[in-house]
Parts: sequence; C-alpha cells; structure tokens
Amino acid sequence: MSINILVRFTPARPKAGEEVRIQVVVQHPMEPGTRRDASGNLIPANYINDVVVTMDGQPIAQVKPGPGTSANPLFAFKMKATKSGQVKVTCKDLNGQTGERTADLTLA
Amino acid sequence: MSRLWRLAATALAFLALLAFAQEDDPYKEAEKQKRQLLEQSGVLPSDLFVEQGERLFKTKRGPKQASLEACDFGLGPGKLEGALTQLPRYFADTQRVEDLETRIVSCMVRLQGFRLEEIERDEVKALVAYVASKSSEMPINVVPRTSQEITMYNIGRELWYHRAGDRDMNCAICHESYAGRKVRLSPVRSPRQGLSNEWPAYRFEADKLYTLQDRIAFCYESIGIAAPEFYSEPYIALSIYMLAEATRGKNRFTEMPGFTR
Repeated sequence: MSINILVRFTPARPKAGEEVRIQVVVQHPMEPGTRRDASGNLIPANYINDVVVTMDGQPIAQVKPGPGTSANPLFAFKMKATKSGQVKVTCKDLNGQTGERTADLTLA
Repeated sequence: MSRLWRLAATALAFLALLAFAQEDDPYKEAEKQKRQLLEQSGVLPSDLFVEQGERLFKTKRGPKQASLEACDFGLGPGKLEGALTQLPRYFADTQRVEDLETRIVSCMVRLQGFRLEEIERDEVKALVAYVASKSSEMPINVVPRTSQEITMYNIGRELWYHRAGDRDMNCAICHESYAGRKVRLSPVRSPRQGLSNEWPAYRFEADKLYTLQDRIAFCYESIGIAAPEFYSEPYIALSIYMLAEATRGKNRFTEMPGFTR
C-alpha cells in the first residue's frame, strides 16, 4: 500500500492575505540504517528522502529529509493565503514506495 | 507572632501541595498534551491510525481480494456507527462471542482469506481504531442476552475475582478496593465507574496505540502473570464483564480513539 499522508491547515479556513500553516504528517517508520534487530543484524535504511508540496501544480516547498528524521514525521510550512486551491503532497522513500495526498485550501 | 508565622507557613505548604496535586492529575496532563499536539501539528497521532485503518478497511486485500465492508459487527454488514458500543457479542456465523479485535480478525480470515498466523497485529490495531472512531462519545450498551454471552460474562467475573500468580493478585484488589482513588500515582476506576471506556486509545507516555486487549495484557504483566495470547478467551471474557458492568453504571465512551497516559 502507498504511504499514508495527512494534511491539515491552521487556521482551517484562512482569510485572504492571512498566514496559513500547512501541516503534513507522514506515517513512516523512518529506519535510519544504523539500528539492529534482536539478532544483531543491521536493519536496512528506509526513510523518506523527498517530500514535495505543490498548489495547483505550482511548487511551494520541497524537503529532503535524512536518516535522522523521526518516525511519523511532521512537516509544517507557512504560507500567505492569497487564493483557494488544491494542495498536493507527494513523498518517496528509499525503497521506492510513494505516497500522495491532496487537500483543498479554501479561503474564508 | 510565631503563631501567625506558623499559620502562614501551613497555608503556603497547603497551597504548594494543592498546586502539586493539580499538576499530578493524569487526566489534566492528558488534556494538556492533547492540546499541545493539536496546536503544534493539527493532527493527533491516533488520526494516523484511524486513517490507516480506513484504508485497510476499504481496500480489496488478501487471497480473496475482498474489502472488509461486508464484515458484520452486529448491526449489519458494513454498519460501523455505534458498532463498538454493543461489542463483545455472540455471532452466529463464527459461533462464538467476539470482541471488536477478534471480530476484525475473524472477518479477515473469513472474508479476505488471510491465515490467522499471517495477520499483523499493527493492522488489526489500526482497524480497531477506525471502527471505534465511529462510536465516539456514545453510551456503552453491552447487555449479555444469549446463553453464550452470559457464560462469557460469568467467566469474565470469575477471572476478575480469581487470585493468581506469585503476587496472589486479582483485578478487584486494585479496581474495586481502590476504585475512585489512586494506586501509586494512577487513578483507578471500577468497571461500574466506566473502566475501559477510553480504549482503544493513544497513550502519549508510550507513544503507542493501545487496544482494550493491549491494556488487559498490561494489567496481567503488572500483577506478574504472563498475558494470554491475543484474541483468546480471557480477553473477551474480561471485556464483556467490564463493559457490561460499565453499561449498568450508565457510562459513555470517551472520544474515540481515546487519548490517555
């Protein structure tokens, strides 16, 4: 199954010109590749190394997390809300698994 | 004069104690943690499990390539609103009393064709969170009616009062003698007072989702008895006993999934 992503806006319906926080939580174990399992073998690295946020096809932000990022990471972006539109978050991990989530930003 | 000082000192000590006691209240602490998480991320960790559970529920999976939408939780296939409030109950198709977790597992076996040993505990927990989220703040309504349910309730009551293990403990020693008070720092409740009305819940101390079975297993562990296998009868019996007693006490579920210490 694809990677599970949650997207929230704070405030949920911002006024035009107001600052809005786009909060993205990605469900992922984020294995750094340095941990060992019960029998002492290295657990292979598997973390999200690319998060892209776009609005109506236009890029807003890109994050390239490394092995030190926590499990189920939260990424938050501040943006000035000028128009309503569709925010799309895509991400990719080292195993090539991808996730995608869209959320509609509507102005109050 | 010295008397006045002593009075002032006593009042101060009392105030400090009051402040300490307030900070110490786990329910208030949980509220605080929840508020802080919501302010910071807008998402509660339990939302992730609910979301994951919804996807697992609606996706066609397993050897039979079926979704769980045909799973009957006692209100009809796919009816999830309030499903948790009337579980555990007897199911004619599997001919046994099942709680929410066991029901999900038996549906995964019967409808999706999974083998029992290949079912992942994490998936079951996510599914439990999703189904439970449809019974948020509803009154608990577990009334044993069929002979199988009454038998299970009686087994549950036996287990509740049966003293066992190296420490010679039973559930009632904490949850009845100390009901409404504290054991160490934890407030304990009796089933009548609504014990078990917050599970499944996200425990911020453990940063994990705990189902009612996980919570019962934790109780077994704390009184020094090896916990039974998940989905086995002791859990179902204890669940039906506690929830039937909670029903008699006219209790409601908290917001589901719960958020607790």
